[in-house]
Amino acid sequence: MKTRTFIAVVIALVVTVGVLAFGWIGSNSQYATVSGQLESNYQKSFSELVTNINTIEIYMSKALITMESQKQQEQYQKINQQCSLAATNLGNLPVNHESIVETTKFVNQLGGFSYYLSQKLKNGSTLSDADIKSVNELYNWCLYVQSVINDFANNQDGSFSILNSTSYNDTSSNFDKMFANTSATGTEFPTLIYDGPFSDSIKNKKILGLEDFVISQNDAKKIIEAAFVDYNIKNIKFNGMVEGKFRSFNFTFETKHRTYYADVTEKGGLLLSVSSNGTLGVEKLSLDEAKREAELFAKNLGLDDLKGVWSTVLSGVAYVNLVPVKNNVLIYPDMVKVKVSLDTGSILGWEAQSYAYNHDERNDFDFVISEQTARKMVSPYLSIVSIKKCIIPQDYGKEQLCYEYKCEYNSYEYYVYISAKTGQEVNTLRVIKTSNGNLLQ
Amino acid sequence: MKQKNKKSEKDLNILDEQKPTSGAKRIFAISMVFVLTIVSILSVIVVGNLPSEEVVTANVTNTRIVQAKLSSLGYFKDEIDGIFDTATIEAIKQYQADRNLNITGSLDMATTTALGVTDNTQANTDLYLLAKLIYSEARGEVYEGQVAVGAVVLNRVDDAGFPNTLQGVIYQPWAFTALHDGQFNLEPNGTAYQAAQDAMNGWDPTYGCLFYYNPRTATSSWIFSRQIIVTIGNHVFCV
Repeated sequence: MKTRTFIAVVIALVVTVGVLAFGWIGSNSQYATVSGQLESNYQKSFSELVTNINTIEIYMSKALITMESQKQQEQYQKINQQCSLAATNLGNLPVNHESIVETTKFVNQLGGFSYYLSQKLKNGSTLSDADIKSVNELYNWCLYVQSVINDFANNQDGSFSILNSTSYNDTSSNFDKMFANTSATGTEFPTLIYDGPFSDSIKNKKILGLEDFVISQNDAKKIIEAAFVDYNIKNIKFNGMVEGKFRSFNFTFETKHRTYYADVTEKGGLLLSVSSNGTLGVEKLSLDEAKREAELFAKNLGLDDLKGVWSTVLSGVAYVNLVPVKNNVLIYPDMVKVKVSLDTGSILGWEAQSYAYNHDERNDFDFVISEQTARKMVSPYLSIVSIKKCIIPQDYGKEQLCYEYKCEYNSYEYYVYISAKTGQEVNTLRVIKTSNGNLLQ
Repeated sequence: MKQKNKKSEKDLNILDEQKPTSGAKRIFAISMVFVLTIVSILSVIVVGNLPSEEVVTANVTNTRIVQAKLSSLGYFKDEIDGIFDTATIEAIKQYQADRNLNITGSLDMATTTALGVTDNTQANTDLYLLAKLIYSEARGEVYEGQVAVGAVVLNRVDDAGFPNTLQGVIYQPWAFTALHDGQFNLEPNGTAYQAAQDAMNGWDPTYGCLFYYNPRTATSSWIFSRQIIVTIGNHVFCV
């Protein structure tokens, strides 16, 4: 009996160990395959990154010594392409953000600046002394990044594994340190002021739309209560301050069906943002009625020159864009976005960041070109439906005084913008009627 | 020497053999172009004859979004899974009945317009991706906190220190813990879609923040050095 039990126990043990070992070997070989593939991907990205940086260095050195502007333009275009590839490769690597951020910034800013230079050359301009100085500074920076990355890449033996040498939230690995070192040039990164996506001028954008007086928390609460006076609001609660560019008071409150979140700026007491969630009933309002509700809400806030210019419906909610109108000119850069429910016409959302940034006493309403002259710039194929005067935002914070021609052609709607200063066509948008409402492109 | 000559002869032979092959290739290419032209002409004719009452073809991505919208409006109670099943059809019919639309149970133009579901595939894919990230990272948070997480993702796309696409930012290694532990694979709910939509429409309760963390669970000392802009729910948002 004892021997039998003993044998049974031994067999059970052997079977258990066998099954466990089989499972362990199986999962281990699967892990090996997966980690091998992952490692190959990382190695590919890193190796491509080294190539990108080396190529960028060559193109930059060529751009600096080429006299022919067309050749210069080609080099800057190629630098821009390589930077964009380098940014993608950097984004694929498992490196902690604080280690890799400066390297990423370098390639993105160099790419943006190179694009700006190539466009400048393409438009027939020459590069300014300041441009050349920035390129020289960036080139020195590039040489440094190149040496750090190449030193690292050339000093790894065959056993180097990216997967095994880095870990989340730990910046002590050599791989992390190497990226952190690419910015330790001992010099300041050049300040790049140009019209481009990563220009420093955008980061330091001035706030023009807030009045000078400062309000208290209680004033802010009163502004919200006044704005939502007909909503039977309850449980209004101050959550704390929002710091940063727009120092604001953050409140939560409730209505019968919804919870609201609202920010009021400390400087100027502007209702900056409202968002809410909750249920909606069946739609009863038309889009025009919703637009009027949005205008009325703005008027009650003291923003009585805001008029609805564009609206669309998305699942029971009207999205209405309001802009100020001054001297019969629509001021698009100061746009406020409003969400209106189509069941009761209540305001569900309000977004006035552009207004806070840009709203200003604009005084240049000098239409140099007459409307009759500007009209000649509109394609004869288009039939003009309506004409408006407006200021439109241009890329990277610039503005332009324009005539807006709403036109039709082949059952499509177009908006054509002709500069009131130069008579040039500044922008053309086509209205795309989708099942999602109307889009501008 | 002889051997070398032989070898080069062999090479020449190979080259000779290739000539007819490339000729055949050309004939094949020409006939392919011809066939493709015919096919494209035919497809234009077929598409031109489609009935004017357009119906959006349901696929997994747009069905998910339809379910999410119907769920947030209270019509759809099942799990949001992207499967165009009877429960989905019934919910669509109920919605159409309440809005005095033709009760078809399908995604016709009038219904998708009312629901605000776009037939733009790229927009749908982006919305789904952002909703997934919001749900996996912040589903327990207040609504504003969910919009805020979506806004942080979009702020990163515009910032020089991060990848330049929505996909690049979301899938960046070690950027979001939900991608480490598999929570990213959960299907988002209606609230997450709404929050993603609001963030994409420009609502940003963080006013440009690039990071957020839960002060009770965060372990990185670096993150504590960032300037805090706002606290929403359990998350601290910073630049």
